[in-house]
Amino acid sequence: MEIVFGDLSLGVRKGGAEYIFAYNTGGLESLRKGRREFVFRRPDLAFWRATTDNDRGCGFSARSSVWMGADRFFKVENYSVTADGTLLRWDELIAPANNSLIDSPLRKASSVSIRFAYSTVTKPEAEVFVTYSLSEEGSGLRVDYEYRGTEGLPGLPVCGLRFTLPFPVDSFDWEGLSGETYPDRMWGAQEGVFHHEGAEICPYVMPQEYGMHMRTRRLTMHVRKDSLSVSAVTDEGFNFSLLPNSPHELENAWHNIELPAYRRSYLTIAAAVRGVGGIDSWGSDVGERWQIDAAGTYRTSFVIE
Amino acid sequence: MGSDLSYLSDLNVFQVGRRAAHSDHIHYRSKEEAESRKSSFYLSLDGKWDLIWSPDPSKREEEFYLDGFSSRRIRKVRVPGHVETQGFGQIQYINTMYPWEGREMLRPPMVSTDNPVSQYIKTFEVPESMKTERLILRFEGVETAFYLYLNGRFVGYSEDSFTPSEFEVTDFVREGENRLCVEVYKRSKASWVEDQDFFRFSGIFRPVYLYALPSCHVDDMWAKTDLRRDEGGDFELRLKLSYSKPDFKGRLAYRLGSLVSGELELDSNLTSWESGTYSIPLVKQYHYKAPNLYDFEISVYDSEGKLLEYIPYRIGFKHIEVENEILMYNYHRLTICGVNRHEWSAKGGRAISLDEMKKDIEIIKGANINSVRTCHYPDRVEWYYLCDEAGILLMSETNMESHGSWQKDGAVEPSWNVPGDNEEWEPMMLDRCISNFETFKNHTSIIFWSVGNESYCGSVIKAMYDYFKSADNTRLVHYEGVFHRPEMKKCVSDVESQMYAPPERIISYFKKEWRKPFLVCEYMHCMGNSLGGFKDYDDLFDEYLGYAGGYIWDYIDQALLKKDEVTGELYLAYGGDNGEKRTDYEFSCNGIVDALRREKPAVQEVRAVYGNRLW
Repeated sequence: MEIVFGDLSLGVRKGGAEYIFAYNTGGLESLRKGRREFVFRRPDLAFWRATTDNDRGCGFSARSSVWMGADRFFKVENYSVTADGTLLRWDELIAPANNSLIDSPLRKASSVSIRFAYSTVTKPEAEVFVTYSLSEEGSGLRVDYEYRGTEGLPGLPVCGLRFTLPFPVDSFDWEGLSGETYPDRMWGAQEGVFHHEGAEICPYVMPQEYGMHMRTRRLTMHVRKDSLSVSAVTDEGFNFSLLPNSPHELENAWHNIELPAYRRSYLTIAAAVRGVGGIDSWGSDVGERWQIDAAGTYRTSFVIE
Repeated sequence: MGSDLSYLSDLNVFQVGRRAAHSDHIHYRSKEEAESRKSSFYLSLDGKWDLIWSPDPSKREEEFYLDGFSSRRIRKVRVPGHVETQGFGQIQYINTMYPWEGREMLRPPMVSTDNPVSQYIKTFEVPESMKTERLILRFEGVETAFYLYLNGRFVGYSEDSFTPSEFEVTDFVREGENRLCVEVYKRSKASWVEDQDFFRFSGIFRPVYLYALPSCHVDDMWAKTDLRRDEGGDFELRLKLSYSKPDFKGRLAYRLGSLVSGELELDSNLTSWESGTYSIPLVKQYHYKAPNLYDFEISVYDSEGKLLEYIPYRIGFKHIEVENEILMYNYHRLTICGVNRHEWSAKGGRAISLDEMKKDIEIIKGANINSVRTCHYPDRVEWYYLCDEAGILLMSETNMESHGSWQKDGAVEPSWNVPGDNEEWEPMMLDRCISNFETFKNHTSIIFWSVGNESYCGSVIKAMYDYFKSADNTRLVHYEGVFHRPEMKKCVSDVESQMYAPPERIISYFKKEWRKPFLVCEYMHCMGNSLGGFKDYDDLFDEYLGYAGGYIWDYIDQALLKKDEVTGELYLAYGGDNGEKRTDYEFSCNGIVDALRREKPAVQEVRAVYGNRLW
């Protein structure tokens, strides 16, 4: 592996892939294979889902609207890099401290990880940690996400990371559960390998949260001759949605035809997914065991390659 | 001159000159004709009709029904169809509020002055084969009230948008061109009890027929069956007959597969007849898993042995009852895995096609649904036949919903509710029950008569319940609204019916007050991304024998295909998209399929959860 200790970023070149992690924007800024760029902007902390009819009916979205802001904005508190077991704090990474690294053997490290610590723009604040790791023997980019909540915040609509891919996907395959699944609506799903052509279009007449896939082993997205996959690290797998629109675009539209054209893909990997509910649409909240308590700790890990 | 508009608000006048409701059998001239399913007794009047549409009664053409009338206001309209979906008048979706909310302050039975009038004109000639026979005009659905004229003469008046209305016109027809005129009012007193959570339309939205009666005709039949505990069956035939002439003599033969056959001599004095009970030692039971039906037939002959009419029907044997506070079907516990179904088409609104109905059957069976509640009105006649054949158990609901009169943004406030305890509403409401029962009583798929939906509870509703109980001892009677007057539970509804009860409330019912089987007549409100926690209801089947299951709300989104004014794209429009106020916006869309009958993701959960119970 080849490590670049840039003034504002950590670069890693491994095999045919190049990764750039930006200190100033707070995350994975570039993932390039050959001529294909897979990152449009550094990943967002995913805290908002487009209001479902049931969320609106029970007042959830109003109560939890602070998370809409938290989904759009966050603070990078600090970051650090560990290369071959050597910890480099943020002030050891930026200019001019990085001058001393120009001849460092760490530039050929066989393992490197960068850990970002974020705080949410809520009061009180919650913490989020995202660690990106690469190693000679590893097959891809491992991502470890952790949300550490605090008392005093309203329930979470969702909790995870959202990647914005700069292209529409031609198709995608996943190994996991059939159909659209949520924690309170996955009983009827079959396990298997599934294929979807093009983007998943919102199946609801008024745009809202949709397209979640629980307990997935592997997801592969295809664009022309290229592909990008996400693999599970733990037995629980990971939860994802891959949508042609952001939750904010969905939130703003009254009908599907009002949504922006499919230019980019929004891949959300959720550490915790709120159920959809169903008792009624005018007061009953999602069952308590399927709500996301903002005081909890939620983790997810996966490998991108 | 012109229609007597006092009918619209007069509670005593809900029909004038209408024939008595009767069974929905179809008569043919021969068995061969029956096999082709094209009865030459019937002339369809569907197609393009002339229309003069007026925004209110003062703008209507009062003399439109007179011969020689002509007007440059005449446009073309499709029948069956609503006028609003064809460009005449405001499309409006609204839930509990009455459609005039915020514009007029009315109390029952006042009629809104915002009352568009559709004056329809259709000319037809009586086919040669029907000329010597008695003739009936049949309207299967007109919303909400209409005056009928033929050849310049007033024939009759009817309400109840969702049941057939028939008028004998033998003495009104003439040689050559006949001029049929129908004056349809969008609002009438019926609007107070047709406040269903749906788009508010008007017009002739179901088929129209002219049909002929031979010299002797079976006006009404009830092939009444019951499955016995010993796997035998009871069969009884009740007939009502009518004749063209007072001196008719002839013969009637009936047959139920190879189980029962019989004959009777006819003469024109015999206008009703009962066979008495046949006790059959062994029958195949009718079940949603195996919808076994027997071919039933009636043949009517004249004194020379010439076949006058042939009536086929398909009849099965089933038994529904409450035993030990448990809902039992064919002597086993019944687990209702149901869905509420509005009739809907993204193009036609509630004017739906036979193909759409067949598609619904396919989706419903495919989702392991075993029962449908015809919310909240009787459906097109064809639907009941399709359900008989498919094995879909029906709750046949009467056309009544008045939630705007007592439910104010969810709060119960019944200060002026209708029909309530208002005796003057009783004849009109009973008529709706009679139409429901008499029309559909031969359909084996029906297990429940439902008094209606969300209309609070009072003496009128008790009378409606009592009517069904006295009319039919082979089915149960359902009503949910008594939930709001628990003191009446003893005398209304054979099941404890609640809507949107969370599982905890159902558990509490079984722990504290289990006296009837518990049915959730509406649950799992499938609006948008929903249907979470469904499995919790399924678990109740295991815990509580009295839990009878429920009906998902609901089958299909009510949205209309509309062209976007900006891009020209077609999209599914819901409440508010046609500029109407007030409206309840996207609340019209709660289906497990969208308005184009595309399954939503929740269907896989329905299929699995319901599939778990279809043993």
